Amino acid sequence: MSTEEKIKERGPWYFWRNVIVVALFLAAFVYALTRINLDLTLLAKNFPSTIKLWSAFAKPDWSVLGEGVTLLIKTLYMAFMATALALPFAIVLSFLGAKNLMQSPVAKGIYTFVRGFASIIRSIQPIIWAIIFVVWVRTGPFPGVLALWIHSVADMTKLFSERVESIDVGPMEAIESTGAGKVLILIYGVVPQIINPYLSFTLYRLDINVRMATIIGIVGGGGIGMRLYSYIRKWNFPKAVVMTMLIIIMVWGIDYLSSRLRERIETGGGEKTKGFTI
Amino acid sequence: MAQLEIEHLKKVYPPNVVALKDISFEVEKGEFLVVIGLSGSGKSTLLRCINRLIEPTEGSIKFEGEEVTTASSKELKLIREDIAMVFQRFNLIERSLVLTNVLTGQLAELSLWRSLLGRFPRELKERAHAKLETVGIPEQAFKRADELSGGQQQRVGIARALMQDPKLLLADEPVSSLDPATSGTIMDYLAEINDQGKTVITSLHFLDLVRKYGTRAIGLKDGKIVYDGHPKDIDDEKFKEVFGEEAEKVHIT
Amino acid sequence: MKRPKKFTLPNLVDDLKPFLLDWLIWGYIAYAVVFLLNSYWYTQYIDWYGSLTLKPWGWVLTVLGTFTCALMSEKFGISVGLKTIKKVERPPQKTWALTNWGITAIALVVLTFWVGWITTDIDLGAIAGRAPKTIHLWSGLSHPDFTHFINIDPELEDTILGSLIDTIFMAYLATVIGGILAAPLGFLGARNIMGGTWFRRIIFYITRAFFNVVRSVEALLWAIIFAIWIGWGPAAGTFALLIHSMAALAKLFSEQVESIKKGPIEAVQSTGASFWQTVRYGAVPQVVPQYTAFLLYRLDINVRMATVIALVGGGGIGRFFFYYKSQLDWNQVGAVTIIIAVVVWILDYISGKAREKIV
Repeated sequence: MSTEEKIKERGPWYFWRNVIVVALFLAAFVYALTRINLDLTLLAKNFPSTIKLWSAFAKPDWSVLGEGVTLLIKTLYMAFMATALALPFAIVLSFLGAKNLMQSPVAKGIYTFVRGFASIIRSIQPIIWAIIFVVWVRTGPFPGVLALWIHSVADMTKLFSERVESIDVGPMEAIESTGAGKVLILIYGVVPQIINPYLSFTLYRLDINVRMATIIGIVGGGGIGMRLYSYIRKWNFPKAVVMTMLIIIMVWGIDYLSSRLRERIETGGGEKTKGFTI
Repeated sequence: MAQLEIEHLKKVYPPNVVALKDISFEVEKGEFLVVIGLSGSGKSTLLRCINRLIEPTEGSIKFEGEEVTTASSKELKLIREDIAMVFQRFNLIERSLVLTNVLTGQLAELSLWRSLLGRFPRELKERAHAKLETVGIPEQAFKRADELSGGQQQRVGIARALMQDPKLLLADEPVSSLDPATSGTIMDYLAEINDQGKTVITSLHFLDLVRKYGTRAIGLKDGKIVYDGHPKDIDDEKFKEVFGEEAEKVHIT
Repeated sequence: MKRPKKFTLPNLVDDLKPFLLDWLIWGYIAYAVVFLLNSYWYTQYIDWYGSLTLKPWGWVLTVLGTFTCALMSEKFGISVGLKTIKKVERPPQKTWALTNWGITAIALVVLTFWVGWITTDIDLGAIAGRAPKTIHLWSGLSHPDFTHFINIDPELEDTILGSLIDTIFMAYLATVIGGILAAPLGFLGARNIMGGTWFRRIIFYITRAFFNVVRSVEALLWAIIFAIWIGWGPAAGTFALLIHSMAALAKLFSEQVESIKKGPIEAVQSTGASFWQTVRYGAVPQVVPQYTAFLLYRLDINVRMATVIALVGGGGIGRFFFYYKSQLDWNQVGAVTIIIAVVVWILDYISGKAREKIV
């Protein structure tokens, strides 16, 4: 094949495919802009309506600081409880939802059921779950915990089982060749491979739950969000600003800690791989 | 005038690690110079000082009469156009096409906007295909670089270097990541380039490769030149000097 | 090559870190113990429940007590601080749970669980006891009423399908615009690019702080602000998703930029390429595929968030959900819930497959 032919081979077809993809994206973008009516000038024009809000940042009402910190701690506990209670369920379900472990016809049925159920639960936002649980067990932190819990179970089950599905069969075969039973294979062949990723995912989920716990109060799920929302509805911005600042500090802190810990788990306590400087 | 003149070259990494101390040598056009030495002896630093990927601390490097160490960024670009480099870890842009990788060899000749938009002239593309043919992998042009095997990736690296039409080729341990058979092929390409009158400076680990391909060898130890002569003359005595007492019986073949 | 060890200020801080962490942990233990005492045995002396108030002598006692405990914990080898910061090796024969600090760590988790159980009002009885209250909910879900899927609901002046399309386009716009804005921010927030001079480093810290603050405020809270700003509707929701996506993507992107490899850059430089050519051919190809994957992932998250952002006036399909719920029209709530679940699930699946292909 000559060089000439090779250039042709890739030529027009490749070019037009790119053009069509870009055109589709642009068309969707323009259509979306007009449909949603996203108007940047509106931001400038309506700016005066937010002056009351921004000026509150200059004059926060620190009298609610103690109350805010107490609620902040409560919010953290909500996230912790949701994650801690979700962990055992997710661990058990993750084995039942791993394709490579569930081979017999009955097991396949269980696998499909577990994964399908997890997907459906995961598709519904914690906020919506919180609404359901507020109806169920009344307003307060408890429905908030339940909402985060059920969403965490589904999410962690999915992440965990995907991890189990990608394990190396070598160690399993080695244990099996010694004549060990199913449970022993699980303990010595599977568990050592998944324990660090599980820890890492759990920390990641804790991080998400902390974020979610700050807003779940809007629908009555308790925590700092509930008080923040009530201040906003009373148009009491100086107090709302204090709550917002506390939320920012907590979320930022937890995010930092969780990512540092995950980094350490993933690198096995070793040195952090240094990036490169231009 | 030699093609490359290096005088009193010194490199200190902050805070105070001395990688090269007082290196001086000259390279004539058409030489196949091999730099040998243990890892950490300063081979990579030396090669990278020549095209200033690493900034030398002291000393002078003259390439074809032009001072490299004090060249402005514009002059440096012109000098680098004439000096191609091949790397141990190939250093391909892994997610780009093989063809794009070869074409990057020609970036310096392209106008900025053309290169930023990725619109390479047809004539350059044809040349890139021709270079891939030279290194024997014309059929891989439209694969992603990371889909290739190590040996094939190094061939792309060489094609990229050839694209520059360099006067000097620097090869930093070009075969250390490859198996022996592939190493031979890659070295043959370097020898072929050398036969076309281009100067080659390479660092190598294997003594038999040094003897087979080199026209001259320089031994580095702790940042100093401890040997300079013909590869065939490296006897056990010299070998010990370069690789240290302990390495005497470890057979590096 | 040995260099004399320098005793500088950062070194001192590093040495203090384990102790400070221990002190913090003991402070937490004190809080938890007082909390538990309070909830089981309330007295006027220890009143820490409401808003962190304590008699002055209580504060003095707490600070001194925790300080002493932190000092002692290093002596008795139960220092969690030493283990986590200085990475003390454990004796090879013991599993980690049986080492002193391991027991401490487990005790901490148990304590937290205990306090958490009380403070979040966990009441398992209510789940069973109040289950009948949810019967209409389940019956609504099992008998969904899809009449307004393509028929206009006169109250909301829209169909569910219409608002569903709104939802997806809101997420799309937020992801695209947020993604475009995030790219330069990501570069400005990457240590390897901006670490060179002090001027660049200041820009780096400002950028980092900016996107970390913006990211810490959930999209739902941003929606409240934008609803006040430009009024209720999908535009407010889109702005909220947009600003949150921008910050979240900028963070991911800056991490990606920080992890680029040196080799390809050297290779492009060595051909005599200019700075911009080096960025275009050495750096950009290393980050683009991963970045596209982040964008797809973000689109997925944004669609999820867009389904509920109507709660605070952000528009989208959530409008129907919250309206029907307020009308106690459970059959229509069921229909909307099913539609949301199916659409989110499909998009999650597609985005997952696409990401697999790219990376």
